[in-house]
Amino acid sequence: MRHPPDPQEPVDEPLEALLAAVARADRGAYARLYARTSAKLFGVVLRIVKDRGMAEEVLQEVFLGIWRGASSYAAEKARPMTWMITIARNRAIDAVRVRREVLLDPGEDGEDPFAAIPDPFDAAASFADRDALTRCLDRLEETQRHCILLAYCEGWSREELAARTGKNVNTIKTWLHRGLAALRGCLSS
Amino acid sequence: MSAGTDMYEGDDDDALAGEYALGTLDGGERAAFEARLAREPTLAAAVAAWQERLAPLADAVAPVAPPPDLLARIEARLDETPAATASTASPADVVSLDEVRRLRRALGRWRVAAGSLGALAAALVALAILFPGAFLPPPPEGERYVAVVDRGGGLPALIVQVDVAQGLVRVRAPAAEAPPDRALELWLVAADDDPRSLGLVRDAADIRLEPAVARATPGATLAVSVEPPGGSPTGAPTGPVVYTGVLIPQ
Repeated sequence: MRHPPDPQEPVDEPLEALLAAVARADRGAYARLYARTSAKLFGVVLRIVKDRGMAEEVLQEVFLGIWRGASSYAAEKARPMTWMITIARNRAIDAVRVRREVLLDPGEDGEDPFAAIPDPFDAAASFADRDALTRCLDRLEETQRHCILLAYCEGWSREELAARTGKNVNTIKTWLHRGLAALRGCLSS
Repeated sequence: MSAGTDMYEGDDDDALAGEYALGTLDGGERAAFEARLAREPTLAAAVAAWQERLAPLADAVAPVAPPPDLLARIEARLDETPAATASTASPADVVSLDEVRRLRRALGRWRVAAGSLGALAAALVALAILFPGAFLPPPPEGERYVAVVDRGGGLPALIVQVDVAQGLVRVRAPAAEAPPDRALELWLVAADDDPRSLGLVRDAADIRLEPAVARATPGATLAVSVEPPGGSPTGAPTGPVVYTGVLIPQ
């Protein structure tokens, strides 16, 4: 799936190099970085904040954060996409936490805790059976897997997970801790 | 080095790092964890490892093309944003002491470029207006601290000045948002201690600082959580932490 090389837009220009150029305030590199990453980051943000207008605001903040923070990006510490996704998730979660708190009155009586939850694992499973993370997630108990996926992909807090599963926050915390520990063990085996 | 509860020790540090990467730490935990992150490289490495482990999950999220004009809107805002020279490496994007120093140096530049104020410039101006002393030689250390409390970019939500000598906490809240029927509560989080309530956030309000709390001020982090009206019923944060900031000697 390669396109012919274009002198204006080098194919396969490493994201590390683009970030290094952005750290030197290179606007051209910034635009190329945006072209390469904005759809992925917008998808991540939109999944968490839901509202499109708000997601656009957050994405602006994300890219302003990338512009300001590029000089502190350390390639030996994180891959570029991981670094940018972290910024995107942090800004998106910050944007929704205040708003969502008011939605969180539990006590909708005893419905099936997970019935109303879309299963993001379907999407996760489709991307690559060979992927180690997918395989390890698949080995977790379902409740642990759900909590990790909903927290990561949807930005849910422990309180949200608790409110929507009818469990208390300590149970959620235990599930998260056990799930994370199992995930780490599986990934390092 | 831990004098804290065993919740912060050993393997549980890795669980905390994982939860921090997931974004599920709650109450004062996030602020306490961030205070530790700034000093404990092994903890920061654990967070980075979790971010890498979990990043493939973003592949499960479908890309969505942003509107075509969004890059132009962002680029227009770059002109009001200082170029990428900031030392903004702190884990929570809090305004660090280095950044405040840099802001002071940059003050003249922003005064010239008076058109529209970027977020950092606005933070600086807020500091300058409220604390003119910030731009004079500092008083002896250990007496007064200031924190710009934000949620990672944008306007500062709160500017908090802790005057240990006078036993006062002064709060200015230019942009703090409380949800309807909820209150914002301000917490002082020292690394090895439980969060201590400083009181509810009200704009332009002074809070009396208890001596025991005052002693915990150096090196502490401030956090703001969402609580029921009247404040946390338990004496500990019960709702999500929506803003954090580090106290720096003024």
